[in-house]
Amino acid sequence: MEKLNEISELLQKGRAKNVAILVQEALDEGIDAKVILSDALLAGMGIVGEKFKKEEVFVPEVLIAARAMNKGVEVLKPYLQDSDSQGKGKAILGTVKGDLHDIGKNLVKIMLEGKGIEVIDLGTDVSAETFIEEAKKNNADIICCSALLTTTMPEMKRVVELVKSENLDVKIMIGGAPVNQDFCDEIGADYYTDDAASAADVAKSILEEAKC
Amino acid sequence: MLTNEKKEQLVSDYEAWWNHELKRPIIQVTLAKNDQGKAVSRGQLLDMVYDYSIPAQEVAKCYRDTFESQIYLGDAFPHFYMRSTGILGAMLGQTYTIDVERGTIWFEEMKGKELEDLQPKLAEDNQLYQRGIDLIKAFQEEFKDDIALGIPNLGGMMDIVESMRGANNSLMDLYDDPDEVKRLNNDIYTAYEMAYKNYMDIISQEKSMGYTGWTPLLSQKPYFISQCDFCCMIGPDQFEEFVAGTLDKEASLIERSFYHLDGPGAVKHLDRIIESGFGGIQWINGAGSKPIDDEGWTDIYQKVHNAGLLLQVYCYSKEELRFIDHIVNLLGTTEGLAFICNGQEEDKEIFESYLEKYNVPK
Repeated sequence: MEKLNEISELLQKGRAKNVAILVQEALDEGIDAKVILSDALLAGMGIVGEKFKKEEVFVPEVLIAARAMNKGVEVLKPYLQDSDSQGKGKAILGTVKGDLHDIGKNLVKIMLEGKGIEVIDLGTDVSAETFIEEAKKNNADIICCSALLTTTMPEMKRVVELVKSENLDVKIMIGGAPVNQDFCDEIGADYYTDDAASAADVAKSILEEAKC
Repeated sequence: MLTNEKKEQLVSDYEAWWNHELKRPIIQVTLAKNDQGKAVSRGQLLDMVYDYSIPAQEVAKCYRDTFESQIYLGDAFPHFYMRSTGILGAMLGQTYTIDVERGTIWFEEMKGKELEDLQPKLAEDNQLYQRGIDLIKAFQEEFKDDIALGIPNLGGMMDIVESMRGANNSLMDLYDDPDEVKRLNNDIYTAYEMAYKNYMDIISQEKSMGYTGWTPLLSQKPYFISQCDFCCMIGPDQFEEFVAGTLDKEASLIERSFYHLDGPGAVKHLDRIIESGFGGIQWINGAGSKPIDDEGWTDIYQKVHNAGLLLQVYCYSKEELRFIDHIVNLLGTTEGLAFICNGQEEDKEIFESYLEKYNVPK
């Protein structure tokens, strides 16, 4: 549909105001809110994610695209209530204790939301205990831990240990510049990805597998 | 501390290295003694440096224990500079928190202020700026030419913009208000230039072993290492628009300039950084990334070498000494290279064997 493509294109350019206007026009034309969400907003964000993986766009472009998506979602929200469009799963997200870096975490949030996953963002400097507490409280499917400092990586191990000791049915994903697959294997986390877009792909497949 | 003969050799060899005339690599080996004596932790030292209630002279005296807890081999030497990266932001109004346990400092986002509200100017009577001066003078008095001195680690201009505005805001600002970003970047550069010149001037007034910086290369002319970690998040067009011009100015201001290339995300800008006119490049692969001797980094070493720039990398343990062989073999030369190595006293013989291998006086 031309209108949906146009919204997607504008979203990719980060044109938040125009996205909001066109989403409203699409609704006025009788296009279903769920279709606008999936075929225009999430589709546009998906393209941004792919371009980001290929280094065709960079972090600022992802951020302004996400802002445009959020503007569009705001317009759609009244029409999406009671629908299942946001019910793809729930992730707890945070930067681990001792670490105040947040850009990597924020990118993961954008990409997860771009896949329709509900994200509970705990912010930065989050202790292992808080991750667990929030995962239980929110009945989360996934815990995503981010770190930029090598000195804070052991906190990820603590998250894994606590999840095991509490026998929680939740997958643990880890990421951040100093983290790699070897570290993931060493601490017994479930998944490592080296960029935010890949994290969202993995999260989506975890949730789809869980549904099967 | 080092003997006079050793100090003379270091000064002479480093000068030759800066001039691309040293026929061997610079290899620094700093080993932690088994007996740490009265040396306090890195975090405690950081805390003292920022604690105005402790006289600068007392901080300098305390560092003596730290210097004496290390063994300096090859081209290594004791040195001091005021940590930590981006301290200029705090001199321009950012608040900060010190994490003594981890030995880190956080310069905090200036929340509640719009971009146009940030009009930073460096005041001569700023307490932190003055602390930097007091510390340099105290270390000069305490150690004379036993150590080299660096200016505080001022930081990179766009890194300070990011630190003041927060990562998300600063990245959005590039689209929302590019002119204000450039204005703020320029204001910070003005403060940087003032701080740089004044601190360097103070170091030059008294005898020390020489200038150094937050990466401890020894120089008899002002030396500093520039950086822009922010550049990892942006593409080439925005790098050109917001970063490159300032790097050009830094490379021209600093007599012996180096650039800190940090992590895979920065590599895409290497060609433009080289164009800026820096005298050398420090390559940091980043924790979690492939090691320094991975084939994936070959292009970096070759580009830097072919451009006629100096190259410096770290070897953080005896296991990483192989990086020296790798880069020397790859480039087919021992000249224009610096390796800064750290380890433990019990591994002294292994490190010494590398010094011998590359003809570095112990």
